[in-house]
Amino acid sequence: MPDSVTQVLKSGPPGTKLNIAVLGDGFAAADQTAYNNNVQAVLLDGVFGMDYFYEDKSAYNIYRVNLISAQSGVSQRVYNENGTPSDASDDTIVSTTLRNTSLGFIYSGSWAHCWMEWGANTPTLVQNALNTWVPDYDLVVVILNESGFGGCGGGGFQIVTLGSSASVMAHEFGHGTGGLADEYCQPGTYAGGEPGEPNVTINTNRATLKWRQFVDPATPVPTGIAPASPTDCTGWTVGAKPAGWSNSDDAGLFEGAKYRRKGIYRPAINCRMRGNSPPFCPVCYTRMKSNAEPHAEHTFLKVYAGDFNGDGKDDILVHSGNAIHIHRSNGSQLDVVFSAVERVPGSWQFQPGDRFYVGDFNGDGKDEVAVFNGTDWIMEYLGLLADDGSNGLRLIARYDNSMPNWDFTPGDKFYVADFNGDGKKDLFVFNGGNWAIPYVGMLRSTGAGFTLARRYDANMPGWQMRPADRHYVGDFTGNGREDLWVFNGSNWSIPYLGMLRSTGSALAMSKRYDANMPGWQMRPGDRHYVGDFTGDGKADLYVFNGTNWSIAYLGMLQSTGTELSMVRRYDGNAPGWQMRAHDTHWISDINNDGKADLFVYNHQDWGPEYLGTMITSGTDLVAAWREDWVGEWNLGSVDRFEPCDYEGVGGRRDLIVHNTDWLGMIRATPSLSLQRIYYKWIHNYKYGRNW
Amino acid sequence: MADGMDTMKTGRGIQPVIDNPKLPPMGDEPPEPRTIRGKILRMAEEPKPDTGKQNRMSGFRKAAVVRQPKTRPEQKEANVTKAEAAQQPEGYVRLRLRVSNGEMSVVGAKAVEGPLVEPKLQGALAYEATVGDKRVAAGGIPDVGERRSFPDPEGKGVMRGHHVEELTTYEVNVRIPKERVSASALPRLEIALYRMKEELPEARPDMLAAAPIGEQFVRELREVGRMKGIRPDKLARPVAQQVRKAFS
Repeated sequence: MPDSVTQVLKSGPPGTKLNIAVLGDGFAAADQTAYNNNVQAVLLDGVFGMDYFYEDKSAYNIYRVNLISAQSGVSQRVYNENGTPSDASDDTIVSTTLRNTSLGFIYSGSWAHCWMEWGANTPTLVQNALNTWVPDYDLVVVILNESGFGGCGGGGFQIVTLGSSASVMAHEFGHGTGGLADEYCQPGTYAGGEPGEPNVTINTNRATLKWRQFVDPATPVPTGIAPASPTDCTGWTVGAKPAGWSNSDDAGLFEGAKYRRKGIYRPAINCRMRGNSPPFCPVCYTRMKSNAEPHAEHTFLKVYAGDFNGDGKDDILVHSGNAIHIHRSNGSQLDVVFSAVERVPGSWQFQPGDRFYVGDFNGDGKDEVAVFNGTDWIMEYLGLLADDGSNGLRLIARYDNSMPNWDFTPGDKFYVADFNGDGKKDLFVFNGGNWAIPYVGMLRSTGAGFTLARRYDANMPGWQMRPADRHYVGDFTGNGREDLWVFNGSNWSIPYLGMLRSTGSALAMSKRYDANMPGWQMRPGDRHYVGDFTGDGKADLYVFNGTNWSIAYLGMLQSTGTELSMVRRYDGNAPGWQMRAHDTHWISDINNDGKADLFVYNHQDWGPEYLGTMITSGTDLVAAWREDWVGEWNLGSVDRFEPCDYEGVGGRRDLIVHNTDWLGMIRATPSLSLQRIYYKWIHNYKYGRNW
Repeated sequence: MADGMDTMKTGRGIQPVIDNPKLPPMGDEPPEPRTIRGKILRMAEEPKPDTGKQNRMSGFRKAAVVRQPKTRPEQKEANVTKAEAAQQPEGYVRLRLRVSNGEMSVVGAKAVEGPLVEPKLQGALAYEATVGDKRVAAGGIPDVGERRSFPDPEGKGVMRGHHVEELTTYEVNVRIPKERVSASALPRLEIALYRMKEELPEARPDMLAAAPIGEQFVRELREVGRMKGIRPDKLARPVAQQVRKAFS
């Protein structure tokens, strides 16, 4: 069996990521499965299954190098420690038993000797292995085939035995990637200057403290002062510890760190940099995130709302490059519950060009995700991702290049709609540009995949399809089956709008409007928003035009079940909102009355930006707005909005607002207000924040 | 008509904003059909079926359910075009440097394909590579210069923490984008290593001002070593070969 390498975590090109090389020593050919299992259990499932590391998987590549040692087990050295195991100066070597291994490490089991030592050729052997098998490395983990406890870290290396745990390894990565100091305490008083590490200090002045942003003003500083003769780091000593105080998540100023118990301070009572098992404290977490941030390449540009666990509260899926995260809403904040890089079990391999479509495709009360990629691979792929049973997603169906009766092409556009009324969302698919003729397909969901129920080639009933056709979905008949609306304002001499009723397996033209709808002259720039604004169970139509007339118009056209009638038209102004050319709208239900309202945004036509709500009574609208800021959110041209119900109160009264670096949670009731704001990453600090 | 700096008004009697006075208001009359390539194009009431043959999907057959396999093949990567390949960065060189009592030497080099994201200037050490007065690379090195034994889970006293050994000799990686340093420039390549005494106000290498970081951050950085030029002919043969190959 020759030596080999397997990349077990593939996040991106090595120069853009933090690269971990894993080498094994003392693993003979027959031991390779045990070695692989240890890497999986301790590093991948262990370290990278934990809090920070789980979140930031996409910042790391991991290369598992399988080195075949001639002998099983590593060389051994026995010391006579002369009864002083913490002092190596008086130790003598009792025996050394050498084994022929790939790297030549020697295990001693002696704490004062770093538990192991490098053999004479070990540095060269390690460098040769790294140069041969991994493109680059920032961190090196060497696993010794040795069951005794031990580990030796430093210089980006950690050499561990099979007896080492994931929590200790995670602590060591705090040194290796974060440059964090140890927060252990040992007897003695620190006498040096201010240390450079972000998580230890000699400064007791709150106003200039390194981590003051994370210390609640109500928390005394110092928070813990070492008594005369403790045996360990101090905890909270300044009166009663407040209820709800977290020893790892709350920050203060606690004496004892960096191997001294006096004269130097740490931020938390028990961070991972002290206790291994707890998560990183706010200070250390922030350093780890900050350091990895250029490599993780997370942004908030692509955000999709959906209730992925069926608790009634919309969560979000964030897609960045080849990674996705699901952040669970508890009604007022978001927390990471799923992190996947490169692929999910199934397998779907994420790429920047993935397009996601959220809906309950299997009728289980939880949202699934249909995903299409027409640009990043040699062929097109359509996948269906469903709940994996542990807050995540797995692929349950994939169609490569085609499915019966539909050949995927890059220009395919998908629309989520339950067109057969079975409680499972289906997909309409349209392609207007990749073939000689346009196509519309009806992809019926079986709950476990899709079948093409019907395909329209060039024409639908009463409708000649053209490349610029724009589609919308909504049940205008009120029969529980979502129908298809189609508009074309540019391929014909006059604009057309068609209302195509779904029979469950086909479409039938219910009404076609040529040039005019009741009370509305159609123009190419018409923009349509389908929603039941009367609350009668039938989807109605808002139509807006801000570019083809001297003033902007907004029409409310009610569905009778077969056609439309004008309920209200606003010319230039709606009550409480001056309409302008670049108003953009989103369907919502802000007051949870079952009538479709509108969110409206304009960042182009005024000096400041405006975000508004337009609440319908069924026959008219009343608007309210915020100018320039919503709480701490500075509205801007780069902002994107996702209407949703993250509060879980019913309706659709919330907005996720996002751009490259920022993500906000805005609720519209009782008025537009910012509930939570996140920068660069989503983390709920007990106090303070990362900017 | 409002200009771009107006603010929205509310209340009764507010006049609509005329965004484009050259356009008419919406009326009740049907619009004049526009011509497209000189013709009036209208949608047919009952469109005729398509009869063409070329560039079309194959004919519709009775829908079949696709059985999903237990394992699926890898998704197939798209071929990289020559134009795309030409746009790829040249890659970078990872230099392995040994620091021994402040003396720095090259002990290894390897060319790595693909783009480089320079690490933030955070951690124990920072490095800066320059050719002349031009910075070609900078970054942070989080963990260096010590060896730590893991705490003894059954230990007492100090053995419940690390046994820390300060190293007088250690090695670090420095990454140099290839397009910024040619082989002929290696004798002029200077690499400075700094101990980071405090956090830098700006940690992203791409956001730094042009001046050497040692001059920009006098309070925060302390120089611990400087290597002036790399001359492959002065290096041990295996290292020289690695350096020549990496920068070729």
